[in-house]
Amino acid sequence: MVRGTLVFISGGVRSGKTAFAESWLGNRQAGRLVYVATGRPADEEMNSRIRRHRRDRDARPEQWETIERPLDLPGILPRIHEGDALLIDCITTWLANEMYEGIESGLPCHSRTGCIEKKVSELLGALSEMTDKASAVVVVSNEVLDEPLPSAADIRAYSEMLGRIHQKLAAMADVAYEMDAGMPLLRKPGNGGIA
Amino acid sequence: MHVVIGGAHNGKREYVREILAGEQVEWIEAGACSRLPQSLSGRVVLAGIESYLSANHENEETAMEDVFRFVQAADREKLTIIVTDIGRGIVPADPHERWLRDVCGRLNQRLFREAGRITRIWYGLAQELK
Repeated sequence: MVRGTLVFISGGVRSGKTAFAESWLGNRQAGRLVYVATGRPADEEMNSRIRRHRRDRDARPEQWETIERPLDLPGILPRIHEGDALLIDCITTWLANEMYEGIESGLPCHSRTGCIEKKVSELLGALSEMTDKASAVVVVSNEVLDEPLPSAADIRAYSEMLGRIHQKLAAMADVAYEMDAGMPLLRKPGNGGIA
Repeated sequence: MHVVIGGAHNGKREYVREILAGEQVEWIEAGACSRLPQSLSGRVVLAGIESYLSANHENEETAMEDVFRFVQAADREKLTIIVTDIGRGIVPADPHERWLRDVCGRLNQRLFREAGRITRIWYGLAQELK
């Protein structure tokens, strides 16, 4: 079994990251196309965002299967088949969900020592395992670090962790793109990259 | 002068440390300075200019003068300045933060004009802009 391609795509909000990722995978489909959604329908705005992504996917010529996974991304490993093409959308939402995991008990992950570091290292390990199994894994995230660092401690910790994850993903990925208003900028032209 | 730019937590310092590995470097973290050093020699790296300006200046003109006095004092061939791009987010509610964004934006434009080399770092991946 040949190891799949790991792709990292980051960009601003509504820059066309998901659409680009979908067509990237759709064009080189081998096995199933699997969309891993990390968003949680917390309010009406989020619901309509999710509906919109669903509609866009349904309108595409290929068939997509959806796995909703706001937390514990490594937990989807057993559900991945050899040759699947995976789209994980997105890391920013996943990280926020994980940081506030446990908040109902009064002790969210971001205030438990080593909690988020453990989740992040498990995620990176799982992505590598997914890439061993799948034909391609595309990981989507957001550009949120081009502004003054926020003063709230938890948001600062979030920014720092997101930057660390992005650096790891850029290093691990075979191919990396930065999206700008629908234009992909090839940041890391590895095996399988298209400009 | 080599200017290295990128968003926060993108690996700018690691990149500079890597390209200057093995060299004797005077590394200045301006965020920890109450004034910028004026006597400089050899390879110099200046980082953290945004927090330095935020803590020590309120006037754009004197802020610019301060930074360029430092640039003049250094050997430009051996000067690396690391700047954080803070100009792409929501307009801050705090007036001093708004002022800072503007000053840093204009400072970066001027540094870019005068730099011989400009590198943008995107999560550890380098792109040569000039």
